[in-house]
Amino acid sequence: MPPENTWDFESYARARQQQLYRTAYLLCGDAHRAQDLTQTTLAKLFQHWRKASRADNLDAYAKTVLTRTFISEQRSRRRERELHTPVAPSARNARGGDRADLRVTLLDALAELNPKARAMVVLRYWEDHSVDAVADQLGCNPGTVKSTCSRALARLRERLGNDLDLYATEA
Amino acid sequence: MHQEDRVRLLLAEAADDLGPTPDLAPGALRAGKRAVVAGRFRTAGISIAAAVAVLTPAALVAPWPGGSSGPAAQYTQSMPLFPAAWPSDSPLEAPTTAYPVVHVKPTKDEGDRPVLTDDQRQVQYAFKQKAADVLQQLLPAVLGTMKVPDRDVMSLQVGTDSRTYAITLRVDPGGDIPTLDCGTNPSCLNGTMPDGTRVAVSSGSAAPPGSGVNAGTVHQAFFSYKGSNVIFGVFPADDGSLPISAQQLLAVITDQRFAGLLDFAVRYPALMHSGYGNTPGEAVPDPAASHS
Repeated sequence: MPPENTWDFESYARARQQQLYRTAYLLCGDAHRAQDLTQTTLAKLFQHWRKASRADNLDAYAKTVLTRTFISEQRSRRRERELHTPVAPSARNARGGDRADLRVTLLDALAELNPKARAMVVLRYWEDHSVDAVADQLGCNPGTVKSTCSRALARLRERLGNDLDLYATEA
Repeated sequence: MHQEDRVRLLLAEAADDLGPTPDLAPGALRAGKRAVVAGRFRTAGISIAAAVAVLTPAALVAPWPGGSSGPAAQYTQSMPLFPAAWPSDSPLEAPTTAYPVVHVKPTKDEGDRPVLTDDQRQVQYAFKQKAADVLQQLLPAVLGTMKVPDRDVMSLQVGTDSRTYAITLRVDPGGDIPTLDCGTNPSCLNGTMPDGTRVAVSSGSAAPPGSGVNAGTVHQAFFSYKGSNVIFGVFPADDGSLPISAQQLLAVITDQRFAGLLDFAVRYPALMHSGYGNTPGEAVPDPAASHS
């Protein structure tokens, strides 16, 4: 790869790593793993930089790589899931008392969703992607995204209960 | 406020809890470069394996018992198992078992081989015998008995009366072979050596790609070990049979006794040169001097 492409990649990586890191965190719920996930995503982007840098929407391309990497890793981690210890709330650098607890609860609730459903929630509600865009990124049809997001929200509400309404009032 | 909006706000706040990430770009760049190299290596790997599989038996493995012609042997059964020049500070003990030396007739021009002293040749021979002994212990018994070809320190054989399997054990200075990350590739197995070195055994056709020939499957490992590049593989017999699995080969590689062989080869790299892939006419340093 020519040096100028390397520089382009580094510029892009430095400019977008924080955003990717935040999305990765919402996907996996663990700060350290989010760093690994982000770095793996950036490494994959570098590996295919010639193609990636020509994408119409490089950010969307990067998010697709991130999401698919997450889903792929989750599948391989399925067997060891019982051994996974959720990060303690304090390790999440949470701020804000009860609201922080609520956010931790949200992450734990997200962790109970299957990887694809979790990815749909994050892409749809955090990245604010359209149903069609999420379907495109995850390789499924829009109807599946709609129904999965609907079920996922119902589960989140079930898990968060009245706290979610309380949170909405405070916000 | 809609429930969706509440979740949006909550997600945003959860993400805000994160501090800034350290700069991940340099690590990603390194990992990406490794992946690019590994991808090329993966693509080339089977071709290399196929080429070696084709070249090695053809070049080094004559019908056994061997022919009667060809260049003079580098090693003979009369050489000592414990030569005087065996490095005295080597943790690898000199061999105590002599496996049969078989004559192989190279089918290609060997070119000008490096000039070896008698001491150097004797240490190479003892190392081959030691390698044969270690592999005899580690390889499945069904493969048969180890044999020591009378040339090229990197080639060994194992076999029965009816079948012969060629073994390549190359240890060359370098240390720049990336270990394949097998992932879900069914023809690749990752493992870890006792010192933590990650290795990968890949399996593929022993025939050149696209040749349409069914030459059996070759299992080979390419990896970096303590600053050297290691290639270790077992090749099928002429009939394409190879009664060892990739898993069994991986078990050999991850055994401490195999690591002992590699440690010796890494420590005395000059001993691993015997002409193939070596600089023609290169003089091999004296092993006694290499560890002083």
